[in-house]
Amino acid sequence: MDNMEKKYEAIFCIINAGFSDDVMFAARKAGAAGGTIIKGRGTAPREAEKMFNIAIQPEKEIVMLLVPYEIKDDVLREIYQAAGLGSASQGIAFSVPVARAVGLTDFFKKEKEQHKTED
Amino acid sequence: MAELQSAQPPRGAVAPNRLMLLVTIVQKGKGTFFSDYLQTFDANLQICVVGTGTAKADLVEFLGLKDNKRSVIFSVVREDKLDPILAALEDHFETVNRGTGIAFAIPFSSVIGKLSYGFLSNERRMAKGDE
Repeated sequence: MDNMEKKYEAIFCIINAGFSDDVMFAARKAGAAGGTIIKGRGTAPREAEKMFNIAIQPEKEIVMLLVPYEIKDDVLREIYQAAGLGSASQGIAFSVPVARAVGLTDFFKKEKEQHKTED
Repeated sequence: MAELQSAQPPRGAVAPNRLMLLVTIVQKGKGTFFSDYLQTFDANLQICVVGTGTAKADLVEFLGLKDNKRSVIFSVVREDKLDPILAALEDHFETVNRGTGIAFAIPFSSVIGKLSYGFLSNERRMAKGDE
């Protein structure tokens, strides 16, 4: 993408319902500010469930986090360790590049001010 | 058969304007307002869901004023409209009462179907048929 700023990444983490606190705790440890949780329903083929020895709980939560590009890997790693497929939350996390972001929260404002003072 | 093949678009054809998934997160109750506003920028497909914010708000929580319900609006917009949309949203986040929020755009990598693309990008001249 030509006009991608590559400053932020959006992390989506799909987990079993009720485990969003674990994800947020892990994400905060790696420096993420806050996130938004939306509810969803998961589906998976029975064969895949058997093969990977996981039971798909249909009620899911999706945690969306907007994080600076530099800490994206750390956040994903922390989330994976705390809420990966091997844990009770059976989380799947992935990140997508964000072209642009506006309306930044205090966390990002502080970061902006920090950059200004550095300049 | 040859005619049919020649009617096909070339592989890897790029649409005149790429599409972006715009995610707008605002306070619950402002979802319709922002959704209607985004529609003025040719955002034909919008999905609005209720979400819960997780940002730390210790003092606010202590005072019993915590309102962490959010409206999350997923809209499909054209890349060339993205800058004016984000500028307008940023302006609204600062000026509208209880209108604070956050918005970010994720690029689409592909869309199949001329009609689908026409609908998503609000290209009216593509509305005649799906090729």
